[in-house]
Amino acid sequence: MEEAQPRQPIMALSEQEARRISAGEVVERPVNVVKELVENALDAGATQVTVELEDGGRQLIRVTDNGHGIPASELPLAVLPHHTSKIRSLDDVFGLSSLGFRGEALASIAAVSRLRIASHHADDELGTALSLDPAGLSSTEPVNLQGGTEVEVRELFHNTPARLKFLRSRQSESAQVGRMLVSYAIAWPEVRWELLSAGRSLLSTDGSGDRRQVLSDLIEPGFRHELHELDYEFPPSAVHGLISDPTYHRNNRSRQWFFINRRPVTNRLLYKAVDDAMREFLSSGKYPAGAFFLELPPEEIDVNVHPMKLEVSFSQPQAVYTLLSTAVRRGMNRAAGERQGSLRSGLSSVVRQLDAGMPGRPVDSIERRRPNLSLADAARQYAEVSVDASVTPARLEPEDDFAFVPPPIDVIPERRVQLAQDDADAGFADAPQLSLVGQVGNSYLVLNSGERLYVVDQHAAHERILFEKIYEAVDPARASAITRQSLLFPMVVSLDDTESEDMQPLLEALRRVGFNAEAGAGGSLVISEVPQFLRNRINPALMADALEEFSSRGISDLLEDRIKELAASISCRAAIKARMRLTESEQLALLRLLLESWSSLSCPHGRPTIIEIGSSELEKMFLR
Amino acid sequence: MRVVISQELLSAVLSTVSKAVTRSINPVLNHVRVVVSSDHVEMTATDGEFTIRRTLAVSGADPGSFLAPADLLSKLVGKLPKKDVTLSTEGNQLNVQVGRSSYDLTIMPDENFPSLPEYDGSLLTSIPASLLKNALQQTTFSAVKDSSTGAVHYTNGVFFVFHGASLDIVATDGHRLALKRNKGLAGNELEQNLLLPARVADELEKMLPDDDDAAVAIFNPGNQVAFAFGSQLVVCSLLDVKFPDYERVIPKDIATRVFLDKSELNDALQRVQLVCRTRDQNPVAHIESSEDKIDIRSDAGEVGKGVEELAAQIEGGAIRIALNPEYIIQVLKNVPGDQVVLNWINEVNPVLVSSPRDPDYLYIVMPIRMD
Repeated sequence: MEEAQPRQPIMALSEQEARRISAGEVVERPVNVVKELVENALDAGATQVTVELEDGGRQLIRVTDNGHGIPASELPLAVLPHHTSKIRSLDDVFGLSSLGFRGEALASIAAVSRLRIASHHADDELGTALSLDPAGLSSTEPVNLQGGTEVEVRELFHNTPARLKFLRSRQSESAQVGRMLVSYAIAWPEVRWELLSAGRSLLSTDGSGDRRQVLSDLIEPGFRHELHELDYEFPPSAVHGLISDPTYHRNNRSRQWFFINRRPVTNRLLYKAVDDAMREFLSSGKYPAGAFFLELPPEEIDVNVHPMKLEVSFSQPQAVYTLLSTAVRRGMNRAAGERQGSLRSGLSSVVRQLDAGMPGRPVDSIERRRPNLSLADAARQYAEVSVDASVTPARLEPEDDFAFVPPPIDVIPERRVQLAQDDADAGFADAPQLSLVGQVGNSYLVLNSGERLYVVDQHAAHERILFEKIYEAVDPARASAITRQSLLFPMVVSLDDTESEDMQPLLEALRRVGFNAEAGAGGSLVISEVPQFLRNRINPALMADALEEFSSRGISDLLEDRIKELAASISCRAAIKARMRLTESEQLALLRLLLESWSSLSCPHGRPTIIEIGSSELEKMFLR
Repeated sequence: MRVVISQELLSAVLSTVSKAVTRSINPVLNHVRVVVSSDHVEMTATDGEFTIRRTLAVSGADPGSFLAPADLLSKLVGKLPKKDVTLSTEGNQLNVQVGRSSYDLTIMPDENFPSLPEYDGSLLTSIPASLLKNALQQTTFSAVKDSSTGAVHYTNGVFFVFHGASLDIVATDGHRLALKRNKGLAGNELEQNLLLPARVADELEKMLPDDDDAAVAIFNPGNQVAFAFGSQLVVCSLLDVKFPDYERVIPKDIATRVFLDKSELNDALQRVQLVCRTRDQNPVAHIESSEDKIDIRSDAGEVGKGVEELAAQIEGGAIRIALNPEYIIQVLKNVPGDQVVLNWINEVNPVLVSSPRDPDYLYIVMPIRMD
């Protein structure tokens, strides 16, 4: 049996010892040291920051910047605990816009390493180097340095073997530093960043300030997918950034970077905001790449949760969630709209041809907003049309059953202007000439442009269109414009499992999307008015299904989220089903709706609605 | 088997029965069944639920029966010269021959074709064909023919209500309802309801003769209904869903009657409808009356707006209502006479469209609501 240890008297820790222990909370591994030093460099206005590591930072961490430097007279103060140039009192902590502020960084690092700081401030003739060892002994010497600061941290944790033991391999430690510097490179594209590990360059940016370029390079070498701009302001808050097109995605979040007031952060709420917004565009488990910059009033955030300053918390988490998810959704919808441009104009040509070829059907051009034209505009348009009209017959070839009769060249001027404008708006000249091939498997519509095949998922496409229309109700101004068609026979929908629940939130969400409903007997719902555009697509069985799905989805208390969930449930049920034969006129009607709907490339559950098969893909399939 | 039929008759018969053919994975259903006896030929096509049979008289035929590819045979015969066509079979080939044109089509033996129910003992009644044709014309357009929402619903049917000496025919899409009452049918003492699929009602209406002397016999074998008229027979499965109590929604306590010229109203609505077509396809016409006229307004936001003023004879107070103009335009096609009446209660209750010429024709439209 082991001998009991003799009792030790209680004693105050030496100041030195206390500092070593508290330093451990700030400095756990090389990446923390680099972070503190890099933030100091940025606060000093550096446009070039070089980080060098030896043995993953164990032997040496050297951070060199070209910032404004520290005056020789202040240099000894910089390494004292709670000495900082960044805040003067506690109040300043809450108005913070510089990166580091606790005044502990250098002191903490000094406590667990051999630290040397060389700096040259413009007011001084010569640079000064200050060397410190963990015992607190310091010495200064003049050095030859032209502006900026160079901090060397040697033999990290040489006096705290427990910490040293917890360090991982050289590669692992330098990879952590690399990942962190990537965040800074994205946030500060105007700074030239360089990371050298054992003399090898792990990261190098040109400091050109082109964030899109930096981000593309960092997502992966040769990244060619589009990056869409996020730009959403809700003063005093705002979201900026870039997000990859849904054609690019990864199975994890490793290519997502989040920043608050330009400070790299991690936060589950922010992840969820992006995931939820992307649910309309990507299936679950797929993550876009992107850089998300939130600007929030400092009083809304608490970055002091952890000394590493990566974790943040918010005083109004729901507001931050809504801000970011709205920004992403808007950005993606705008991008989808742009992408749709050429496809839409191609489709509109199909519809025109079908309209023209349908016996007994008026030629009914696609309704489009037509701005008032001045006389000069009209003249210009007219001039453009002549060119367009002259090529019309050649472009609009008769298509099998849908013989298109080209309009005679000397049609009345108004008509020509109208034609040309339709075409000009839609970028018609570049658009592929599409023909409707038909329906495949009673589920897909196939279109041929000569160059490419387009396959439209009839259910997903229709669902998407309905979803967009219903979801417009999130905006109260647009919700009030929804016209409701009254029912002759009110629909009674029985809701088994919500009997005990408060029906008010459901009724309110239904009202917003254009249903007039009230609670009936025995937990049933009595619907007396439906949104006019759903007038022939809704029946009680379908509503019961939709509401059952809706109540099983219900997670959020937020009305906006509830409306979105309701829109998804209803649109899925009301949409044309897969495996349903569509007549030619029904196919045409669906194409017409597609044209009118902007972001119809993904359905609310994240599947694509239209796929393109180019001739190169076909060549691949045929092994050419 | 060998038979001679004129191209025009054969073509008409084939195109009629082909309406019951839908593309199916069951090959039998893509075929038309041809049964030839010495003095007549019977052609039948079905999609399994809806069957059309036509019989035509011939003379001196060699009997036989087979299944011919419906689409191909119908198209081929349609393009043949207008002369006598000789059909003859040998083995699994059908020879179609006119003058110097001769085609051999592969046929199937007369097996596994769905048989028609025994309807002989199930005669419900016999009514004038023109009466049924007219009633279907006035009502079927209000039903939903497209059933792409999946489940069958009462809106997908046309409802026949035999009650004593009357037959009500009703159809609705849930937002408007058309009702034609046919009274004083001789020899009827029936209490029977049938819900006919709207698609079948539509085809039946086109097939029925407009002849005042022709009669149509209606049979009700089991859950099916059969209409026999002339040489034609239409059989289909009934919809097994409950039709709502339509009598309950017929507006009573009318506050105001607005008498309008039918064609003026139609022209005005046609124009108004053009500027109703907003992006969301939610056409709305706002109707308001004052003294001896009504205004019809449409506002499609950025697309534009318009107003029509119509002379009206008004009995009662001022009216104000929002309606889908398409619903009114559709009924005007079926209202007999020059005049039409809008019967109004208030802006949340349905409007009753009626005709002074045909008091047994009622059309009910629910209003559009907005805040």
